[in-house]
Amino acid sequence: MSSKTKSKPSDPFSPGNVYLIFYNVFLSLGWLIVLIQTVHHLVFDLGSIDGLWDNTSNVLKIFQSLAFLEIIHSAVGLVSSGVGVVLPQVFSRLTVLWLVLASFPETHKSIGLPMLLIAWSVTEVIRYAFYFLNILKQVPYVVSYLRYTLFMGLYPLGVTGELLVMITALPIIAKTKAFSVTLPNTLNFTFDFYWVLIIIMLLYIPIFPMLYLHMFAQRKKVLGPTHIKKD
Amino acid sequence: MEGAMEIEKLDIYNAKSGKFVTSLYGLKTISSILEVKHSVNLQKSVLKPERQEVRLEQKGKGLKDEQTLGELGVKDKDGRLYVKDLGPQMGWSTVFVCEYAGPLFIYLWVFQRPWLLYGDDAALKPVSLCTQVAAGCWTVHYTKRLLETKLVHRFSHATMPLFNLFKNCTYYWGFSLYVAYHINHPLFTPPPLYQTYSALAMFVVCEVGNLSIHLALRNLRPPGTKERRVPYPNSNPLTMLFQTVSCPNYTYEVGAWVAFTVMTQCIPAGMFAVCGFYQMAMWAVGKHRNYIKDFKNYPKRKAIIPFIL
Repeated sequence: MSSKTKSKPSDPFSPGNVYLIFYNVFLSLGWLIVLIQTVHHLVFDLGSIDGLWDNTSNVLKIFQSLAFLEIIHSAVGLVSSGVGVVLPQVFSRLTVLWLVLASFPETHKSIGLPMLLIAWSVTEVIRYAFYFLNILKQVPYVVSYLRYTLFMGLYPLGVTGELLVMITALPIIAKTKAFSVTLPNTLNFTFDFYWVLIIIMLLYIPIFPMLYLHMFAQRKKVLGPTHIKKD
Repeated sequence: MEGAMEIEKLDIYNAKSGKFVTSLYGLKTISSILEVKHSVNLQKSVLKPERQEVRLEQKGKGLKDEQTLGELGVKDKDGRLYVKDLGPQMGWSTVFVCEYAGPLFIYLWVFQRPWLLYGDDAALKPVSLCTQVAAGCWTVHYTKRLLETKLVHRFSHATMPLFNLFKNCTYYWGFSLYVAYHINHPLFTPPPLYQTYSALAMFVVCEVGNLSIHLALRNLRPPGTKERRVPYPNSNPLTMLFQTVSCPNYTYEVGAWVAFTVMTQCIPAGMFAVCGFYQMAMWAVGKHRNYIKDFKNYPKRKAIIPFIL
């Protein structure tokens, strides 16, 4: 995730910023629970994927779904990142969560699940923490460093996990025609989720390198040697 | 001699990069922008006059071919103009033939129930009357457009960018396949016949109306000129729409696609109508604004939808 929260000029305690502080603290803690549940399961079940979904899905669903508020934040100008950047990221996450993972239990055995759980939760704990600390203008160097360094491994890990989970679901969707509308119907309309999912996966090819390189550029800007603390 | 002074040297700069391109010698204050384009072309053979846009300022508006250097106030010393390369150009009629022949062939191909789309034996299954009427309407619409391109339209611009050809063909061909796939499907559900027939009546009226407007617009522009006049209704009652909107040709076109959608009760056809409406509304609002700007006392009208937009 590459969106960047810019605190509104000067006042960190304006109503908008107070709300954003609550939102970001809440989501950071929520994702921390997901991270703990994931690690706990993987450690105590010795790396087995069995039951991982059941142990994590309730909290995961709540906090990943709350990310849709970020679309609203950027749409109403509460944060400076553009809707065009936030929308595809949240959209792809919600698609993977609700239309793939929550809909097809077969995907819970995929190695993609622990991959995306680790990648998503670590990224989000740090990202939301960075946001609320940034509003208070109290970002410790460690947090900036982690936010702009861990993505190098976590982002490809997450994308691989998402793709693996979607690939696992494809044959099932082809067989069950889930979320698809077929003829005949009185409105003479068809919708083929199988092909839509394939198109979404193909969209990763141009979008992933773009966002990945964007994060490297951000890293250079924030952690670069010429960076001097302003304000 | 007034109005025919020589312009010693005219420097041409690239409107995109701001870099120097070439110097032109021997132009006069009565030379037109078209002559400037030809002079540039003599030195830069790639830059055919049609793919040039000449500007006074780097980010200024494109100048018209007929404007002369004198009336634009280009200095006789150290004059400078900017040229923007519009990219490779295609003739309008070539573009339109590609855009409209595609939908015709694609639709009629799908109408045959090809095994490639519907599997074997699909061609043997019955074809509803609605599907046949729709194929007829589609064929009439695009045949009409092709004939109009060849016989009726007079274009004020001779060419358009090559890129538009790809863009427009993707849009028209893609939508044709998408709409045709559903309406010609062996499992297509036709709406009640009275619905198909009443929509057919509306479709015919809109097509004839659209043609009437195109003929009225043609007669507005004398052959071989780029002159523009305010269009008014003529003796043809279907041109009455000019009293309420600036672009009734688009009003009729949208009406035709709404009729087509009702006729087939098919959501993909409705999506085609909505996209077409969006695009035509943009064009209509632009043309409407130009009319208001170019003609004093332009009558009170809307752009595309009477009394609303």
